This record gives sequence, structure tokens and C-alpha cells, in this order.
Amino acid sequence: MRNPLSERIVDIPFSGIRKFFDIAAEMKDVISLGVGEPDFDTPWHIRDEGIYSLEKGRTAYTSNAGLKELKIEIAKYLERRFHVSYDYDMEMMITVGGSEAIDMAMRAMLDPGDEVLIPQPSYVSYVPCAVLANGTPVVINLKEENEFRLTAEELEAAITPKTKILVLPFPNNPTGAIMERKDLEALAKVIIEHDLYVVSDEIYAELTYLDEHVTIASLPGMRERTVLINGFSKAYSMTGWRLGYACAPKIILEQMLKIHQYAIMCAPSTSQYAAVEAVRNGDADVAGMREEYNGRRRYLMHRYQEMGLSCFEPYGAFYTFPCIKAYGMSSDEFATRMLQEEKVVVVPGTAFGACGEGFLRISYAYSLEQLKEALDRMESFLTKIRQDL
Amino acid sequence: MGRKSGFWSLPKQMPCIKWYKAIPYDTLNGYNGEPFGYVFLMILNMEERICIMEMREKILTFIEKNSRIGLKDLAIMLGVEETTVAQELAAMEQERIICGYPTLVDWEKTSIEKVNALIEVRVTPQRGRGFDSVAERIYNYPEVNAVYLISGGYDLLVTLEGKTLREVAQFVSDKLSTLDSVLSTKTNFILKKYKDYGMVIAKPQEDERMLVSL
Repeated sequence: MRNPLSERIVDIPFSGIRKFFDIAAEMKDVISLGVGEPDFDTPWHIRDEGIYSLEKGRTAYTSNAGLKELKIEIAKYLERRFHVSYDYDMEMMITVGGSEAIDMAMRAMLDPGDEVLIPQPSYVSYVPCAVLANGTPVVINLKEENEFRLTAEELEAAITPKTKILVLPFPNNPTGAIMERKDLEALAKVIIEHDLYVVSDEIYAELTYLDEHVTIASLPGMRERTVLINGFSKAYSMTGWRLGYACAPKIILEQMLKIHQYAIMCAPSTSQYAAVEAVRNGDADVAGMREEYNGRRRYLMHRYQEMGLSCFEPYGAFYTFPCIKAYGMSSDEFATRMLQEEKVVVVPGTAFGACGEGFLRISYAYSLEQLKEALDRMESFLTKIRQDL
Repeated sequence: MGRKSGFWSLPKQMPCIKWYKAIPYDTLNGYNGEPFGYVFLMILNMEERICIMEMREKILTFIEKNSRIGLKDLAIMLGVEETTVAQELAAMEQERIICGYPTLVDWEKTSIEKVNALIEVRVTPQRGRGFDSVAERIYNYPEVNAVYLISGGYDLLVTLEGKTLREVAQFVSDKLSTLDSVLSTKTNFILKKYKDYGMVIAKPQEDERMLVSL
């Protein structure tokens, strides 16, 4: 029989957490800080609108680009929250989660040989999406001393004549890093000078704890070279609804929409009707959740300090990224041992790129009680391994 | 009462005393000798006041759902000093902004029998005191859980807790209906509590997320 598989696909590695999932699933009394989604239920008024749309029988396709009503609300929301305006009709499409938007953007913009700059540690889908779109991923290793922000110098150093796209994954999963206005302004200069495009994944935009999130699309000269990606999963605790959106200049968006039309057709209708309610009346829910996350973030940082675990202070998303280089183990070993010995699940930093070595991703999308219990276990693990040093 | 309305009372819009500045009060009259007394002036500016109000709101939001959180953890989560939180909590207790820290119990899961009733009460308001005096007469009974003044078809909503149906019935017929200003009562027994104080009673919350996701 012939090999049924595409070589290019087979060459793409599986994501690095399978092993953990398999071990953890077998164990009892495991406490996890390894989840990349909110712990809140979707607010009831949003779920209610989803149910209502089902009751009314609104179960047909929507237009390819998404429900007009929803797009209008999103345009208002982006204006209100992030001071950037998009034409809902020509410059916006509703996608199946932010993930689809990343895929569509890469496919619409890349030709073979085009290089995509991907700062790491970052979410796992950028590299495979670039490869699937025939692009060449080029990783920029972010540094802890810069709080895992991307600097203009690092960007400049990675640019070649083939560079076309810069992926900007901020606020960042897994590090919790953010980019402030001054950081983005420094990047914008380089981006414009080298005529690059930006795919800005801002799915955690609502979860920042220092200042309001700044989107790079709002900086002068950047809107026309940015694909802005956002969605409902993190802000409104709607991960399972699979709903995101992309905003981009018409010339890019219409090509993305073409692929979306053939590959996806349209985002789920029920989710879209629920999302209208979310974006129209959900600001208070978001504010409440943000406040809660912020408290937990402070709690975690305090506990790390108490147990002598080094960690830069993250100001975004719901992750911390402590450094475990002092313990003479790789991230993978450390996480595996902590799971086996203390039954705490965390994700090794290496799952998000080789430069995540020496770090762990610890999520605070958990109740305070769960965090306490997990951190107590972590503390006793640290005490134990310090004695072995 | 005396303490609240006296010289030391604070204007309502100033929720907390942070710093005082001591000013010799006789300088006000142009007297130049040794001061023999001080006027304490509050030097909270508007920004500080807003800051304290915001912190109070945050404290209240946190403890409303979880009053058992320790002082230390609460201070960490709010990113402020423990002493400040303690001070604000004490002040808010003093000002009766925080009125208590009750525990929500589902008595149905215990062997203790309880009967709860909602009683709609129509009353004649009293000259000069409106509904206050009759409300007070009613809320002084220990079996009364809550008394609300209500707009609509009746005046007071009284919630009641008794051991048995008969006990509740007896209270209504002997104590409540016989009050001079009570015109009529309508007793509704609670059959089951689904949700109380913003918390769902029956079902435990389960985390259905996967153990690991990226």
C-alpha cells in the first residue's frame, strides 16, 4: 500500500502536553494548574441568548463573514475599548475561535519562502500554521530579562529580505507578558521601515492588570498592515463556543474570507447569537472576572516569593511563568516529578518553544482554594528537591 | 447615637480617616503664645477619598462571596497592606456597612427540621413614624429572619423560621396578626430553596475542564 500521508504534515510534531495529559488522567487526587481556559462559566445572560436562539429555530447558516448584527457590535466594542475603528462590512469576519483566524491570516498572506517571525515562548499554533501555509517560520527567542516582551532590537536582528509577517502574541500565553504602548511604538518603527505585516493575536486583550491593553493597530501607520485577531473565549469565558474574529484591511480580509468560505462556511450560528449579547452587555462580567484574576495573580506572586521561586511579574492573561533553572532539572523533568510526587499538573515551558526551557507555565484560572492547595504541594516539592541539591 | 452626631462625626462623603493634621486652634484667633489645644483637620484630598472608596468596594466585593478569606490573603489579593485592610474592615463594621458574616446552611441535608415562611403583611403606618415602629415590633421576634418594606400589594414582607408548621402558624395567629397596626397577613410556606444569597444550593460546582490544555 502507498503511504497515505503527506510528508509535510507528518513532519509537524504533536504538541508537547500529551504525555502529561496521559499520566495525569490515570492518577487520582490530581490538582491541575495546567489549563489554558477560564474557570468561570459563561455568564448566564449570554448562555440564555444562545438557548433562546435555538428555541426560535435560528439554526441556519449565517453569511460567510458572520452575523451582521454581531459584526456591528464588535466594531462598536473595538472602538469603545481599544480606540480602533473597522468597517464591519468590509474589514471584519467571524471565525471559529481565534485559532481559525490565525490559520486564515497565514494562508491568505504567505507564499513559499516567505518568512514569518514568531516570538516564543508563545501559543503552539503559529509555527504549524505558518508551515501549513507554505511559509517559513523563524523563531525569535524572548528573554526573561525583558519580561518576555519583544524588543525592537530583537525584531531588527531577525529580519531578512524574505521576512513578511510578524506574529505578535500579546498578552501572552504562556508567559503572561504584555506589550505597553512604548514597546509597540518602538516595534512599529521597525515594522514600517521593513514593510512587514503583523498578525496580532490579542485574544487576552481584556485581561491586563497594569494599564488598558493597547492594540498595535491603533498606532499611526499600523492599521493598514495589521491583522487583528480577537475572540470571545477568554474575555467572556466562552472557550467551547468556538468564536473569534479577525479585522484587517479589505485587501487581506477578502482573501481570508474566501478561504473561510470554502473551508468553514461560517462560524456556529448559536454561538454568534450568544456573542451578540456578550459584546453588547458583557462589559461588567469581564470587569468582574478581571478583578478576580488580578487578585489570584497577586496571591500567586506572593506565594512564589514566600517559597523562594523566582518569577517576573506578569501583567496579562492568566498565566505565570516561574523560572526553575536553580533546581538542576529540565522543565520536563521538573513537571513530571512534581506530577508524580505531589500530583500537581503544570505545563513545562518547552511546550511553547525551546526557549521555554527552565520555566513552567502555571495558570491561575482556578479558585483560590485550588490555588492554595496546589501551591502548598508545590512548596513541599521545592523543599524536598532543595534538600537533594 | 450620641457618638455619631457629636463633634467627631464625619461628613458622610468622607468614608475614612487617614491622616490628621494638628493645627493649634488658638492661632485661628491670632493668639501667639503656647497653644493650649489643637483642631484636628482631615487632610484627605479627593483623590485619596476615591482611592479608599475603591478599595472598600473591592474588599466588599471579595468578602461578600467569601467572608472566610483570611485578612492576610485578602490583603495580598487586593495588593494593599494588611493593616490597611484590617482598618477598613473595622471601620466598615463600625459604620454598619458590614452588618455581619452569616453562614449559608442547607438545613435540608441535616437532621434538623426547619420550616420557612414568607408572610405578606398589610399594616397601617403610624403617624410620625411611618412603618418603622411596626417593622421594629416585628423584627424584634427572634424567629423573624427578615423584614422588608415592599412596594406593591402589601407593605411588609416578613420571612420566618420555625421548627414546625404549627409553630409558624401559631406565631402568625398569636403574635403577628394581633398587633394593632397589622391589617392582614398572608402566609406562604417555602417548599424548597434552590438558590439563596446568590448561591445555588443543591448542585455542587464541578470543574469539567480537561486537566491540561494549551
